[in-house]
Amino acid sequence: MTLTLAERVARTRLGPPSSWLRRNGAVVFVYLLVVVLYAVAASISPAFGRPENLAEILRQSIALGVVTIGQVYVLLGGGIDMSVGMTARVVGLGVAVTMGATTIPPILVIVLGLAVGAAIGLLNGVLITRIGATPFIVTLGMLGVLSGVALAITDGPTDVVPDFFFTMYDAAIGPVPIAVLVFLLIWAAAWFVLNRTTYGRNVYAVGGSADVARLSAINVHRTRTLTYVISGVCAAAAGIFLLSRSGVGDPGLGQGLEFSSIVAAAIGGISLYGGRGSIVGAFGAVLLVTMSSNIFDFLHVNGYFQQLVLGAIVLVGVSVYRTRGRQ
Amino acid sequence: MTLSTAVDRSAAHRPPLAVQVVDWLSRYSAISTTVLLLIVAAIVTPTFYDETNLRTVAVQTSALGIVVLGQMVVLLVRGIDMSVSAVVAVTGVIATSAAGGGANIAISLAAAVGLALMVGLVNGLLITWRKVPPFIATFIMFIVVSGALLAYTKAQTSGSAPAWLRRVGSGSIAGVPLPTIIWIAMGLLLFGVLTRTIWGRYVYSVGANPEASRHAGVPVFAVTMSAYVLCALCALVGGLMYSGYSGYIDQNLGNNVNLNSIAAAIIGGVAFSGGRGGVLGAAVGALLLTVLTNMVVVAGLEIYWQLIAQGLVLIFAVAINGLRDRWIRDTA
Repeated sequence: MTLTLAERVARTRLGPPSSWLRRNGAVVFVYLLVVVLYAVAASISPAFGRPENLAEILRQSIALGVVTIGQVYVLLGGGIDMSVGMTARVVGLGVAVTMGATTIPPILVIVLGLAVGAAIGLLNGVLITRIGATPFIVTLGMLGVLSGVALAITDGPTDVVPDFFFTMYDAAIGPVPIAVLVFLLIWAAAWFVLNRTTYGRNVYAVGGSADVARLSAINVHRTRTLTYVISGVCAAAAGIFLLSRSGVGDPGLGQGLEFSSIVAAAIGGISLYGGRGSIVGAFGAVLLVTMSSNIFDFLHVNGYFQQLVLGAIVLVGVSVYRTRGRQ
Repeated sequence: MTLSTAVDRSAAHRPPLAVQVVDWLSRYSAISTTVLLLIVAAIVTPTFYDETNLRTVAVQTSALGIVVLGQMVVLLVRGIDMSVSAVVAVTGVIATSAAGGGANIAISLAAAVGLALMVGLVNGLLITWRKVPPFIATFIMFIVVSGALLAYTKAQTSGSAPAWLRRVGSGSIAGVPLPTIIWIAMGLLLFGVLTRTIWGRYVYSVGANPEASRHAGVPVFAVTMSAYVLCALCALVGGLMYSGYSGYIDQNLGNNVNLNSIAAAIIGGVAFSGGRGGVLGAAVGALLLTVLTNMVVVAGLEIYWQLIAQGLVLIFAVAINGLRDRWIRDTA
């Protein structure tokens, strides 16, 4: 059967529901899991289903969620960022120490922290695009360097942060914490940039096929480098937010964020080979991961068993749902 | 064809100096950096060459080197194994609890081998059969296995290694530590198998191009599975060496083995994109990383310099490889 180009375009735009489902299978699957998990947990433990707890789940998901946004950009652009957890730690500790030792206004310190995150991302991006180094290994090396830097900043809890920070964490309009509102706005912005701007389109194109993107006059290097800068800024923001949650510079801050953000993106249907997947699915996966550990707390699952249970669930999920690789 | 065009062509075929330097570095940078470090050590920190310290370096290099052998084979088939550190930790705990419970060596060893086989098989199945990306599959296995360990030990220090294991860790034959002998024997064996058998050729072929290998009749499924099983078994032996050498086992055992084993292989010239690298490079990578770490301690520097130095060496190594690949592609 032959189709004209116009007919093909029409088919892809307004295809039958089955093909829509196939294309968005991962997204639907994730949100289905979120809903089922929520319903089951709420029926077992009524306290879990209360609106306050829903707001709390959202607030607990902020750090992972913000890091995952950056990770999604990097993954869609065909890279991977292993340095996000340690970027969050270095920036979080750096901000805590700077606020404790100097009288620079807090806002300025925060902006500086975000700039440091951007600089780390820029360095990653330049090494990867201009020198052609493998993203996984470069950012892994960066993870090592940054964990050393964090240890150099402090090896114990330091510097209680100013009250301003707690206000930032606790402020709420009615039952909804302002932090959650900002978080949702950031996700909306991330979705908008990916789906409604030229840059977002370029990220998908570059991740899908760098050669084709280059032939289409897309600046591949700049597009890719910018994804790492975005990831660095997101990680820095998460580090500062985690600081406001704990209130002190915690030397274990941000531990494992690189892995959980990559796993969240992968569960949400983002291809680890680049160019494929929707940020909507990744958001669902962040909710899923956060809700699971929140449920463990409500069901009084022994802390020593939580990792095993979560790992087993993800293992079953991954082996049942067949991931689509590179075509 | 005139003489002048022939001359032009030969001139065009000689790569510029920068390319030659990068190519030389990609081949010999690990070994030359190691030699350089050893010279620097002789001048700056002579205590590096104390007999006890040399023994420490040898044993640590061997334990890491054994894990790197497995990691290298997995990297050669375009994979990666993030679960090695969990296998190292579990091996230590199994060995110890056997010592505490009075079970005999054979049973505890069999349990450890069985567990390593299972981890390798599940990794391989997830990657080949379910098409899960290697990084995700092996990392989930890391979470599950170390989660099971956490549930079992309740994050308590597990105790001391059994006597036979301590003897292996601290023993030596003709002045050479036993772990080093085991490492060299395993390395030679793997070298022979990779270069002289069909399986070895399959490994390189699957890594260079899995699709073409399948069309050429290479059993891609079996080769990939065997790589992950082999890697888990190497991690098991490495774990025995780590726990035998340190004499006690805690939940931090094997903490950095994931990153260090990957870093050592890459520094030793094993390509992350598969199909390129060898036993000698992997061995030098393990040596370089261990010497670097040890020198930071011997020189009395703050411990964070270890992490910074390791990270920088890794970035340098991958940058060299990246430049080399790029120039090869550009001139092709």
